[in-house]
Amino acid sequence: MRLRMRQWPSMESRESRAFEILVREHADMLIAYLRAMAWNDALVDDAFQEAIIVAWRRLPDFDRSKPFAPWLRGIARNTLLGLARKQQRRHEIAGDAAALHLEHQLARIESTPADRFSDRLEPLMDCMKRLAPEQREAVELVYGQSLDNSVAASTAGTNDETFRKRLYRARMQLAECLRRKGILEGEPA
Amino acid sequence: MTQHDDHVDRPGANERLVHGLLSTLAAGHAAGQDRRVRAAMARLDRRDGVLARVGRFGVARFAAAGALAATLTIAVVLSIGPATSSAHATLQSISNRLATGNRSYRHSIMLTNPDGTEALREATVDVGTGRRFVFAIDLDALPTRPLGPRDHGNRPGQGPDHLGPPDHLGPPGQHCAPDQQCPPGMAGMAGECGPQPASGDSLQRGPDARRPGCSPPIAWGFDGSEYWQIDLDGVVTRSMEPLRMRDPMPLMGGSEPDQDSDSDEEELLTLQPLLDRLESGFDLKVVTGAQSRTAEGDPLVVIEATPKSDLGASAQRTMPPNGHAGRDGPSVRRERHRMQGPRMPSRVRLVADARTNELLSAVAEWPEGCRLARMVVERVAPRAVDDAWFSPEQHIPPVAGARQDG
Repeated sequence: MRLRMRQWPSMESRESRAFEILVREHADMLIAYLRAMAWNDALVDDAFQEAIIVAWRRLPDFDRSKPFAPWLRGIARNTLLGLARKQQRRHEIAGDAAALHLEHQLARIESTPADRFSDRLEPLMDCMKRLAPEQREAVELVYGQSLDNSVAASTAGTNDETFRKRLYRARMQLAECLRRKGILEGEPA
Repeated sequence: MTQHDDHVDRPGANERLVHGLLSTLAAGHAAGQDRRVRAAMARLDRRDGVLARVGRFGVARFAAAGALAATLTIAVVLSIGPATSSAHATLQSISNRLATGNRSYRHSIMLTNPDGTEALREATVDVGTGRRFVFAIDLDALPTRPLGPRDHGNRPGQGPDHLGPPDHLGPPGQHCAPDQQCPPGMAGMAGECGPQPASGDSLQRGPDARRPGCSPPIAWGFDGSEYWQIDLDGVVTRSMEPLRMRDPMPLMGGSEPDQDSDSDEEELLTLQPLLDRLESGFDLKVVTGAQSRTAEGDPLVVIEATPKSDLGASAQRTMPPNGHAGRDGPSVRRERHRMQGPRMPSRVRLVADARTNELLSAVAEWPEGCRLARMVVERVAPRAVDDAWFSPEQHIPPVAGARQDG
């Protein structure tokens, strides 16, 4: 019996470790971008994983004189669109113009001096303090405690529809606050 | 906001962006992000190690049948988050969270034979850092029958081997010595429903099957460093690469993907693809009134999934008896595959320990008349089997090659 004892390829290579570091560095940005592009968490998670894999494949093509984040977002968007098409959820994805706007806004956020993506969101934390109590509670329940809307609504003592509107208004208020701070661009809401 | 307007609704887009940004501030975000990245890197590892080098067809093949290491492992290490009131939220937890540490699971696949008997394929799996597994056919559960026309001709024009040979058996397309031809047809699409040809068992039992080097595999495993396979004659083949091994289909009860199959045709034999489709294709509900605690008193989460009505009808569609006519072109085969339906189970039940976040069991049942009847993944006690269990020597038939049919 002739056995071919080829070494099992390993991800312990320096290149792959460097790539993982790069991925971790941009993971928060990427997930924020994908969630802004699509509301469905499962779809977002699938797209995240696929985007990482595609990025690894295409890494040799990446122009290292350019920033990594926009390149990664481009891959992520295409991946997301492909998955959404397969799952017949294309209508849930932000359109081209909105995607372009999101890309521009994230590039602005990334240009602010900070070590980590979360540090760049300090203005958002500040804006949250300015929300009305019931709006702040809605944000805290859904985003802080990761409750789904129905559970959060009953916890807040209201119905789903009222809660959904409250949360929507909270996000709009936060977006407007960030715009006033110069973090985001756009006309007043 | 209008999704496809060229004229962008900036406040609306900003609101979406705030949603994205807020989601990175959640208390559990860092841990979730870490799991997400680790899962992506693990997939990268596997793809880079195996899938990238075998091409599209190889990928389909690997994903469909031989990918216990890649799919089942992921499937069974998934865990459920603390009890939630939403079945969808719980399912998302299942799909998103990768557990750490070593656990042991038993994986059973029950196939319906053409004569109405059932054939069991059973696996023992250690997951996590010490990933190992064994698949073995329960020989006693297999019916006795002569070789039938389907065995020799179910895939005309393609020859007996689409996977390639094991390392020691010669050039591609040949399983045996050059003047020999292995019996083709690890017959029987896994989830194939409807009338079956008279002979269709996946294990070859005729005289051809007993030629040296041509016997079908009866056990297949990975001991943590090396893949191995044992055929009916007791011959052990070892390899560092699962794809170089003899066809694992009969062990998995899996299908033979067409050359033109695409990723949409991913098999549901393993749990992960099943979970992936549950959300979009199934109605989910948290079962109340079911057994709600383990024997130790720990609370359980039980989710039941049934196909959404439109998909359910599709899943029940049957396939023409001679559905594998080889003269059909790729488009015809692809269309037939669509007509055949997605081989959806008719019912899936997931049980998890709500306190410890462990997936305890997953049971998928297919409609009556399907080749694949039932798939069960259940957690067993840690170290339920010793290390030796994962070596091939533990699974060689007592009298190799001497087993008599019937």
